[in-house]
Amino acid sequence: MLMLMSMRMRVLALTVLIVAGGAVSGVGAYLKLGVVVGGRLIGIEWTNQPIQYRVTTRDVPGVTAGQLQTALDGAFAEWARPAGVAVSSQFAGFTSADPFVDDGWSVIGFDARPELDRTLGAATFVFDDVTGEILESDIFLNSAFEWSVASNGEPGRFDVESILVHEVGHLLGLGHSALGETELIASGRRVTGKRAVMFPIAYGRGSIEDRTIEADDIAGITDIYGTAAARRALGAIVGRVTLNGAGVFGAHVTAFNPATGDLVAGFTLNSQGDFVIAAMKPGIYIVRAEPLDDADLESFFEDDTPININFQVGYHATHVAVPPGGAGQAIEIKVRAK
Amino acid sequence: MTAGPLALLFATSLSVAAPAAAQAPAGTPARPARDREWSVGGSLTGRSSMGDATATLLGSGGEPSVGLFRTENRFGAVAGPELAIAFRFRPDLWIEVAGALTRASLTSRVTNDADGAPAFVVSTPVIRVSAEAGVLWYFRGQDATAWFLRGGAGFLREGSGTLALAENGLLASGGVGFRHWWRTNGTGAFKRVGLRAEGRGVFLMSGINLGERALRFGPAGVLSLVVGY
Repeated sequence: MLMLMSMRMRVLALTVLIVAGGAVSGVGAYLKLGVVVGGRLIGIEWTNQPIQYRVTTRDVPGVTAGQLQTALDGAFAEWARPAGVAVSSQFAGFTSADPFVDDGWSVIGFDARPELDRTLGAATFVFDDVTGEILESDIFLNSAFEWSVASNGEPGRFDVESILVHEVGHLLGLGHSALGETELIASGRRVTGKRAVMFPIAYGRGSIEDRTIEADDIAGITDIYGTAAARRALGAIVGRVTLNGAGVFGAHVTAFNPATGDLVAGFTLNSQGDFVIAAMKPGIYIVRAEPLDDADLESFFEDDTPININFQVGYHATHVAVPPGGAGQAIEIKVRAK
Repeated sequence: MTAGPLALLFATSLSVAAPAAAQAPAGTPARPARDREWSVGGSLTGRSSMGDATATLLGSGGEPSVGLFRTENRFGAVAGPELAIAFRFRPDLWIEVAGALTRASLTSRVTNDADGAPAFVVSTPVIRVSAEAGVLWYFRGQDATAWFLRGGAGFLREGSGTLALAENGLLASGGVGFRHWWRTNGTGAFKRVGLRAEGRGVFLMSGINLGERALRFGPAGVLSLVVGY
C-alpha cells in the first residue's frame, strides 16, 4: 500500500512489461490508483488542468524529440476522446531535464535503462497524500529497446504511441486492468489477447493496437474524469464475491455486454469480497468472477495482499442490469473452492 | 365471462358503448355487425433467439484471438393477457388498438469458458408491456364465423423487477384468424358474444437486446373472448 510519509510523495508507479516481472506499486481500487487517507481510500487524480508536460530533448534511433512529442499529443488526445471525459493537456516545451527528477515538472522522455530488460516504460507520481491531487508525473521510455513512430507500426520495433497511451493512462491515475491472457514462452510471457490498453503486458513489436483505448479503459478514465452529464448517463455494478459465505479478496470480476461485445472489469478489494465497476454504459451484462493468474498477481497487488486464487470460475445466476445514473441491486457471485 | 374482473371489464365497455349500428348486408364478406368490438384474452408467443455473442480478447492486430466464453441468448415463451378494441372502418375492414402484458424468461447459456468452467445458464424474468395498432380485413365468412387477416405495429417496453433497466422497442405483427359468434341475439350490451382465435408472426425490434440480433421473431397465438355491440 502507499505509505503516508509526507505531504508530497514520489512513487514509482507502474511499468509496461513485455514479459512478467518488474516493479509495480499498490493498486488502490478498480482501475484506479489510490491512497489511503485516515483509513479511507481515495483515488489520485489531476485537479489542476490542463496538465502541463515537458518532453526531453533526447533523441533515440528512429525517434526524434519532436516525434516523441507528436506521439504524446496523440496519446493524450486518445484519453480525452471518449464523450463525457474532461481531460486536457498542454505541451510546455522541450527540456534537458531527465524524467524521474522531483523538479515540479511532468517530464516525459527516453532514458537508457538496460538493466530493466523487461520494462518498456514506467511512470512516477508526486501527489498530495491528503487530497490525492497529482502534482507531477514523469514517464520514461526505455531506450534499451528499439522504437518506431511509423504510422502503421514497424516490424521489430515497439510503437511509441501505443506504449505512451498506456503510460499516459497511469499518468492520469489509472492502474492496471486484468483483461488479458498471456502464455509462457522461452523469453517470458506473451500476450495472446487483451481488451484493455491498461493490461500490464504490451503487445509485441510492430503492433499499434494499443493506440486505441477499449471499453474497460474508457470506463476507468470516465470514472475519474467523467463530467456530471456522463455520471448521469452511466451506471455501475456493485456486489461481492463469496466462497462458502465468506468474502473473496482479489477476485477478478468481468462484466460482458452481449449486445455490444464490451468487456469491463474490476476487482474485489476487501476481505468482504466487495467490488464496484463504475462508469459503465447502461445495458444488460453477464458477470463472471475468476481468480487472478498467479503469475500476474504482482502486476495488480502488493506482495503482502491476501489475494485468494483458490476458487473456480463462477457466473452470477441472473443477468445484471446497469441503469443510467446508478446501480441495480447489489449482486452476489458465489464461487466454489478449487 | 362469469369471472369478476371480466364482468367489470365488460361493464366498462358498456359505459363507453356507442349506439348499435345496423347489421351489414347479408352475403357480404365478414359482415361485422356492430361498430365496435372488445376482445379480452391471452397470448402465447414462442421463444425467440437473440443470437450468440462471445466475450473475446483481441490479438496484436485487433483480430479476435481468445474467447473468454460464449453466450447463446434467447427469450423463452411469452404468455399474458391481451386486451383490444376494434372499430369498424368499412364492413370488411376494422381498425384495432391492442395492449398486452406478458412475462418471459430471458436466458443466456454460457459455454466454452476459457478456464474450463462448466456450461451455465443465466436466467432473468422479463415483463413486456406493448401497445399496438392494427388493421383487420375480414376476407371470408358468414354471420357466425368470419376469417380475417391482421397486421399491426406498435411500441413495447421490456424490463423487470430484477432488471433495473427497462428498454423501449418496436414490434410488428401479421397473422390470420377467425371470429366466431356463439351468441348473436342477446340483449343490452352483450348482443354478440364470441370467440376469436389468431395465429401471428411477431417481429420485435430493440427492447432488451442481447447478442447479435436486434430483430427478433417469434410465432404467437391469441385466444380471446369477443363482445360486439
